[in-house]
Amino acid sequence: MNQLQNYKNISDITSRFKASSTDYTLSLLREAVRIGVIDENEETALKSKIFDGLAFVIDEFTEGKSSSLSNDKANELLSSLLYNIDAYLISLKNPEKALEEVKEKTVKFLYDSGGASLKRVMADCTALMFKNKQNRLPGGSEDYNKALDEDIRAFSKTYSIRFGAHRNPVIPRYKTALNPRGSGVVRLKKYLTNLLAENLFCRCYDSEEVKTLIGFEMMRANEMESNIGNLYIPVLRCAIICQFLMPGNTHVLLSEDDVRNAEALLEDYTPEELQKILSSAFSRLPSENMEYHTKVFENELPHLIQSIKHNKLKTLLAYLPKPTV
Amino acid sequence: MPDYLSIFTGGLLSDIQNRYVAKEISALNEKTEEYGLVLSPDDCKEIAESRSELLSETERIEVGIGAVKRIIEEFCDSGYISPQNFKDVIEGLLECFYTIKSETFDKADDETVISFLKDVFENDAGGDVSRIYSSVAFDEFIAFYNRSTK
Repeated sequence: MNQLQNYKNISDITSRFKASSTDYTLSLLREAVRIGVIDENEETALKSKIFDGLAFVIDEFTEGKSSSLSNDKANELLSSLLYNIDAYLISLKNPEKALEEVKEKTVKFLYDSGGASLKRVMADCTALMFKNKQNRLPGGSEDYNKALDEDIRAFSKTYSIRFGAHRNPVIPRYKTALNPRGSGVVRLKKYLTNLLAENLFCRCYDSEEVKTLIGFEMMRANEMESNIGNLYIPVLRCAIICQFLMPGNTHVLLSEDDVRNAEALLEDYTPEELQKILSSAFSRLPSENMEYHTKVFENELPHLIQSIKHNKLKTLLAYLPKPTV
Repeated sequence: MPDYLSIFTGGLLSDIQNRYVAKEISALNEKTEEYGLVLSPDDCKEIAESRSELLSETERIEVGIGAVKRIIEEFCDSGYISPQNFKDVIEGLLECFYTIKSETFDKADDETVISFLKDVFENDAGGDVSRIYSSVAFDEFIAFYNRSTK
């Protein structure tokens, strides 16, 4: 058994030598040299083999009309070739097997197999897009609706798996709470996966309550002359405070008095105690994909604690104001 | 976008690629010797190195020996080429070829460029590669491609 078998996750390899998270093939070769599975001459020979594979990509791209290209275009095609090969090798989920494939298979085979993997990712994106539309938030912002109706479709139309697989989608102006990493269609899939987690979370609550909450958040943004950003974060914040005030409840809409009560109840606790209290409230939230929400919650926790300690919870939460006479 | 080319074309890899190109050029002797033209191993090495430099100067990438091969195949029957000037003519033609490819932004395909070079070499330039550059046709050819796709 060689040491490559010790790697359980793709990220174990890419995190060691990566220039970016998409450089799986190059990282794999580098790591294989480091642990002595191949020597530097073999690494050079394998790189040379991959580079030779660029010939048929150029031939395909120019339809056989040119054997050479400008450096910029050649680098673009080489990036796409590597992105495709990365996709195939990652899909094997086994670095040792991946190295064997690089050694034994033709570059064309690796490239075509990667293309097939990426087509499946594209199909996943279409399915995710459909699910996101089915779970569209009521009363979403202009950016949010544009992301669902226009931006993502535009990317799918112009995306080329063969010659521009590595290209980043123009991530819509509407940002998810966690920024998707990576590049190409894999990044788009992460964006859509994040968006679906957020939409499904909000769908756990009464749609009228969510709509009202988002409406207040948009009004607040207008008053501050700023654009409303992510729609799920305000829902998450309110859901946590609702859980704290009434454990087990399924509401998300707070009144001004609720916010005051929360502030009064929490003001005397230390940050460490607040962390425990808020984490406990968060753990009672009704949702799937808690891994995603936990990451967002970890980002949000310091803001919530800070605002409680400074009696500024109101500035962080959207709530129903008291009716004025 | 990372500069992958530098990872794949520098140092040892560059030597491997030049050796491969020289070997492939040498294999073409089989065809050219019927015209009395044979490149020595040193000639092949020099053409490979000058090809590599030309590609670098014109900021281009070529995998394999597509252009050299086609130029040798196309010009080996020229009455202006002798065993004495064979290597120099090929190097000169390669320079013209990559210059045209770059200056037309790849709009002129390989075969068209090679046919054009053959025509000018045989006629206007009278077998003198250096005269291809100074010919009116050379500038007009490039201008035509840049104009026609504006």
